[in-house]
Amino acid sequence: MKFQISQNGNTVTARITGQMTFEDRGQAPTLAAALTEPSSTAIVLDLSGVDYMDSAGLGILLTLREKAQAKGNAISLKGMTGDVKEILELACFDTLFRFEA
Amino acid sequence: MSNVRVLVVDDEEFNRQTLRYCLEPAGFLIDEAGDGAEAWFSLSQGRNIYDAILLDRQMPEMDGMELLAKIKAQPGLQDIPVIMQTAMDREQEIIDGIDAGAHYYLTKPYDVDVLTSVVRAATDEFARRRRLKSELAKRSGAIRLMEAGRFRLRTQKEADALAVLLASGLPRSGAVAMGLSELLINAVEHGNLELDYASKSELMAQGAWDTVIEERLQLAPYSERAVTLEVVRDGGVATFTITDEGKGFDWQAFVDLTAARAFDSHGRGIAMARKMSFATLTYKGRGNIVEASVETDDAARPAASPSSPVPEPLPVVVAGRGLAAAIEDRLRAVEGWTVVAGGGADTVGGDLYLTQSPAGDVILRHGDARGGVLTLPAAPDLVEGATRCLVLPATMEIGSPAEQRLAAALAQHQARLVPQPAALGGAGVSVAAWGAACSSVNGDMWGGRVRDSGRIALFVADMTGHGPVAGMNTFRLAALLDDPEIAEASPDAVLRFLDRELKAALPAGEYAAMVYGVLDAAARRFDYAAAGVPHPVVFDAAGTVAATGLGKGLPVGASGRFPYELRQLDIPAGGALVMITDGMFTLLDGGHGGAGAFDRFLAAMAAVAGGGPAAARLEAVIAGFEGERGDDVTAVCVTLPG
Repeated sequence: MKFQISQNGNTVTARITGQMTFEDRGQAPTLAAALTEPSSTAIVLDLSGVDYMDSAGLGILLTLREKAQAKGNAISLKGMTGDVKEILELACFDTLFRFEA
Repeated sequence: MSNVRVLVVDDEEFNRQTLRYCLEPAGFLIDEAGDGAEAWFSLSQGRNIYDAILLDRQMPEMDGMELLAKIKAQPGLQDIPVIMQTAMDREQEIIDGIDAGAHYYLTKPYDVDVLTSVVRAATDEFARRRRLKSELAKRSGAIRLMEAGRFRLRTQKEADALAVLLASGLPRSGAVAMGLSELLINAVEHGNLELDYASKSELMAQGAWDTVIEERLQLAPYSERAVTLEVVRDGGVATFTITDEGKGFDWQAFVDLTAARAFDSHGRGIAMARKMSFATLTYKGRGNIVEASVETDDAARPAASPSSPVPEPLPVVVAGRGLAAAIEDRLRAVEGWTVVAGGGADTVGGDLYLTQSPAGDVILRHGDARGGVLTLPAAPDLVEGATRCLVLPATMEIGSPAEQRLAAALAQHQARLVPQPAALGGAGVSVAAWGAACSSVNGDMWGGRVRDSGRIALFVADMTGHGPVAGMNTFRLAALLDDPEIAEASPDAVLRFLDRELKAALPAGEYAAMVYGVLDAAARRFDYAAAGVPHPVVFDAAGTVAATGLGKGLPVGASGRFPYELRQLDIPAGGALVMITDGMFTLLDGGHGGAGAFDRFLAAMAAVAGGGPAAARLEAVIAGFEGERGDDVTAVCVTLPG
């Protein structure tokens, strides 16, 4: 898993690429810290570059959601395709995150 | 989509642009930094962003050598390959760079083909290093118990697998795995297959290297040759002797990375192995025997490992009254938590509270009562392992000393929690189950019991992650499933109960994807609820798909209040119900699932030679996959009478 952070106004976007798996779980705190900038109010996770996600990858999303909520930030997901879209739908993550078009 | 990202560090905008124009068409993502300080800021943004760094030597602010030194001193960054840009004739500069850890060189003006092949070689090497490290993470390290051994291999794939296996019980296992892999692959390519350095340069430039290797492996006399590796572990040193059956190898030129070869895209493996992986490295005879040694940590105390960080403040483990002395002594011997003596069983406090039941079992509960109660047999290894998983999970990471010492006790206990399939069957109903862990302890679990109504409750669950902590969470799940509150409850109510309890008990990001259902064999109906697992499937007596259920649902423990719904599947006479975890898809895909993985599972079931009922097909599909697994795999098949 790799990520790149950009900020536009109050929205912080993380473009995540590669695979989100068990091996990447240690990066969740770093990513969470980078996303919860003091001035941000909304967080977008751009998953268009993620080609595989396992259950631990879903866990990373949940960790980010928890951190964002603790700071009162809205969090949404966008750009999912293929297998990643399938697993997020199977796991009903649309009930936890806003899915952006 | 490419996800290979290169950081270009150069103070000349023109040079950065040129590199971008050359590398982007080759599929690299490019970030730029105008000096060392700016580059350091980008690198500090988060680990694992960059797959290579292209570094100019002379820059204002922080120059290339200074940045190189900082990168190589930073644990999260030091493995990223650094490609230095320098003039061809600056031999001393190149030697300084090599000594400081830069192993790839480029010279200006850039030749596009050379540039891409060098960047590709560096990023490929990094990808391989990461892959070996991730394979290492799945190893138990039990190989450290071996005193001596002899292995034979033929292919590069076997070389990698053996390198990971042998390195797993050693300190600095990532570097050792990489070094062993380099030496073994060298013995295959340059030894047995007799492909020399010049042919490799030429074949790599043509993109034909892999094909030629494949061809030679099938072609006599090369096809009959093997590489042997002998390892002896003695007196705090492990010595590896690797012998190939080729004509020999001109090793003198390769034990050091020289300025003359610094600009080539390959040929640095042996020098890097010597410098970074081994204490000694010696070629013998005509160059077809190489001996390498590393120090082992046989004498070191496990608790001294830097991979066991101690959080502040220390967790408090309360040894309640009546706890067996052997257990309490064991807990007191662990650094990283404080053990205090507790009162009676009702005075609960601390981070974890342990007492002994009248039957002699150890009872564990969190000080704040979340997550209910866990009952374990009073075995010191098991209790220490479980306690670590609950209050010091970092010390039970796969590959850590405590994990290597205690995981077996956790796995044994886990095996006791899983029912005998035959005990659930009877009256013409037969239950078959397969479970295989990808690491020391399974993060998957299946189970079931015959309810008072005579119906059979069944579940298949996949806890987040792998290894002991995930395994500990399966104990918790099993304990919750024994709760009398849900003994006869409808499957959707069971999942709502588990969701609520696990949400309270587990840290964020840990949960269970599962399916739970109740089978009425007489009515040939399965009532179930699902929480984000592969769809349950019904097959007819001939093993053809009769109906596909729905695995959709939020994993239990993720929200605490998800409205799980009751679903139904009808099963024909003689038909079967199959439930799997998504680890099955990693088997089918030889590593990772792609789009439509579930359909590929059904296709694999349909394609089983000779056909047969679902249980036989499932057996054949699973038997077809030997060796390494990327995930825990579980499958359950219930067949009804015809």
